[in-house]
Amino acid sequence: MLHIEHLTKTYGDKRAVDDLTLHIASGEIYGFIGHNGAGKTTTLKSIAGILRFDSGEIVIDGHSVREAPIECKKRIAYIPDNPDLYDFMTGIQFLNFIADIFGLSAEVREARIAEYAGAFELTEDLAQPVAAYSHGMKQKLAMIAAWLHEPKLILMDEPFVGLDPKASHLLKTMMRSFCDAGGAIFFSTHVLEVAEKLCDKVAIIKNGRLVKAGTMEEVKGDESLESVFLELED
Amino acid sequence: MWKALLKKQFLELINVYFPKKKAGKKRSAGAVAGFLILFILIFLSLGGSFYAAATMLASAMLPMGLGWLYFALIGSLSVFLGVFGGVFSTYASLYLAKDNDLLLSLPIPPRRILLVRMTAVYAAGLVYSAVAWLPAVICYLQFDASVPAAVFSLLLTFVNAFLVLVLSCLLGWAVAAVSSRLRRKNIITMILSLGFLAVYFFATSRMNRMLTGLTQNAGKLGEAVRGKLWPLYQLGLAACGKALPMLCWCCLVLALSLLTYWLLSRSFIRLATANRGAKKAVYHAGQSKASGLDAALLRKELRRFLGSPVYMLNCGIGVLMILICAVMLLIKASSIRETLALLLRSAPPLVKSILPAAGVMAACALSGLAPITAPSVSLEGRSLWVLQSLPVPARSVLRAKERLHLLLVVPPIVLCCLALAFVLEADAVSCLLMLVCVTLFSALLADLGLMMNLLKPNFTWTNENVPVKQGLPVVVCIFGGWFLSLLCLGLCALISKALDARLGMAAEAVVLAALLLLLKRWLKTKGCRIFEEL
Repeated sequence: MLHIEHLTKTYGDKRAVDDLTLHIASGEIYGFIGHNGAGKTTTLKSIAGILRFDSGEIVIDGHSVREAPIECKKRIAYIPDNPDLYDFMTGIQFLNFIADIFGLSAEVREARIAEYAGAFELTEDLAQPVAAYSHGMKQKLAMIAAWLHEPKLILMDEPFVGLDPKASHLLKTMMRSFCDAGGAIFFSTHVLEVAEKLCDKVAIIKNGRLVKAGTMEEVKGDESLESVFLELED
Repeated sequence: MWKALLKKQFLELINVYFPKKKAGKKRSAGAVAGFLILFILIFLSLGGSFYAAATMLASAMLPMGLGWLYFALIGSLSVFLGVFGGVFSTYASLYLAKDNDLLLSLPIPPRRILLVRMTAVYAAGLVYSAVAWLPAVICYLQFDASVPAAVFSLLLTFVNAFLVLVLSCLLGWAVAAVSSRLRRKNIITMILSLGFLAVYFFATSRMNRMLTGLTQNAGKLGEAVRGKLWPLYQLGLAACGKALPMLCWCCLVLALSLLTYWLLSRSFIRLATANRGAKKAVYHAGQSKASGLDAALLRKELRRFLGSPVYMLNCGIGVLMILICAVMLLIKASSIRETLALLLRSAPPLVKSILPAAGVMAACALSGLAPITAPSVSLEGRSLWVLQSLPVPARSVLRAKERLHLLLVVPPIVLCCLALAFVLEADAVSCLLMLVCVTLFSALLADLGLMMNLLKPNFTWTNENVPVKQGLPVVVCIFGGWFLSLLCLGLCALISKALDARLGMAAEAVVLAALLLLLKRWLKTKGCRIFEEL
């Protein structure tokens, strides 16, 4: 589903991502962990087509991000760590905007909004302006928007930050169901316990370079993910 | 702490005019110098018109020994202008900054946050009021070049800006106090601002009559001001170089400033953290309607425009003015015709023939006051990622911004143009050419605004005033529009003189169309690339 080959991105003299290669297959929840400033967000933004990268290649479902960015974006959903949405819209206006962009019919969007907003207990607040939403509510709205068009790949940057325990549990369930139905998820997190329990595969990045990647068993062996991560960081 | 807060405010201000395009890239010295020259030119051109008005007053009042009245009147005008300049932004600057939560969470007394924000309001007021005050000082010093008059009148530039600050802050405070109790604060902000605008335009429309009246009745007016408006008398005397009135005026302004600061600081936290939207709207399913990508993007732009009083008032005022102009042309058609006939009785035929073109360019210059596209890219702000992560071509995004401009500007300007053609009794061909010219000009201005904002975007603003009111693209768009309309009129006059007025307008249309094509090509290629890489 997602092929990252020798991805390199620099900011001035600093190499934020350095020769990163990763492959993510359909059905996989792939965790991406690393210290602050390791290059996780840069990688995710490069995949989402938000950032131009210097060299390497990113292919999503057979389409190159560099050559066919629109085709790639039709297949993905991206949720940033701090979802700054349109403050001048209400929640439902924002969801309708996203549905219009992806060409969803009125019936399909109504049904999906009802399902996901109901699950996240956000239905009643959809008529409120986004400006009045808390961080967690914005996060939930961004999740609903991401699931709305049934993408093939979901990219998430620290998705659990700001969510209440119930929403957090629901998100984990939704992530699992999404991948069981053939989708793929690539997400960054600092919550190693969640990554350990939820992910099929995990990649650890340090100073822009991939230091370890593979199935959870391959990466951590008999140790905890936390201890492996700390060892690699030292 | 003071230093850090002031530095933050100063950096914010610097970033408005000289935004860094990308992290890690330095601003070029040439670009900084270019912007400075542009601002100086704008200041000088505005100052020139105030100098002309000041000369008229000075020649009538100074020989009568009414220098103090001259300064009292100019002082009132400059304070009024300063307050007008800040009327749309003070509320947002003081209470709606995006760093409210951050600053309030730091160990900073809230009154200091307020004071630092007031410095930004003071700086804006200083610039606006100085545009009227300084030319008047220069004009006065040609009559009386005494050292006390020079020193005091120049010092008063800074002192009077405190009075502007007081009035602006009180207005901003009143808007905040009222809007904190309302669900739709946009409405009250709009009503207050439009009310203020109406007063402003009423005053400026009668400026000539007022100036004539003032010069004819200066003596009587002087007596009245001296008797009933003691502070203005003191201001006038102070500017003429009198020490005691200077002290009195400074004390008065200082006392008012301190009182305002005390008043505002008492309610700052409550108003800055007011929970707007007390009544909760509830969503009911079944309201969704599907639409296409272009319609969705256009609706998004329209919602942003209608959802922001700052954007609407600052960039939509031109639309309102064009509409007012169209209505006035229709209502006063016969009296305008009579006045024109009287004025043009002895004018050369060339002036008569280019009248439609001159009218069109005046309407176009008015449309320059609606630079809707100029801040539209910057207004994406921190939510730019939404568009960048969606399967939306950059061209569609830019086209939606352009279409909003055309949707709001073209219908009123076409109406105005038709009213103008009716008043001037233009023939069908001239009328058609007039319509073509205004439509092309509007499209050109929309694309110019977009281009400027793509070249100088600013996504790090803390309140919408920054891109909407103070951004370089807006300034360039307004003054560029005026400059372009003058150039077009000049071209039309040249061709009319040599050939025919209608050919002149046709040439104008050709030039505008050529420029529009060039801009469209730039937006389609480089513009789209820039947007994708923002």
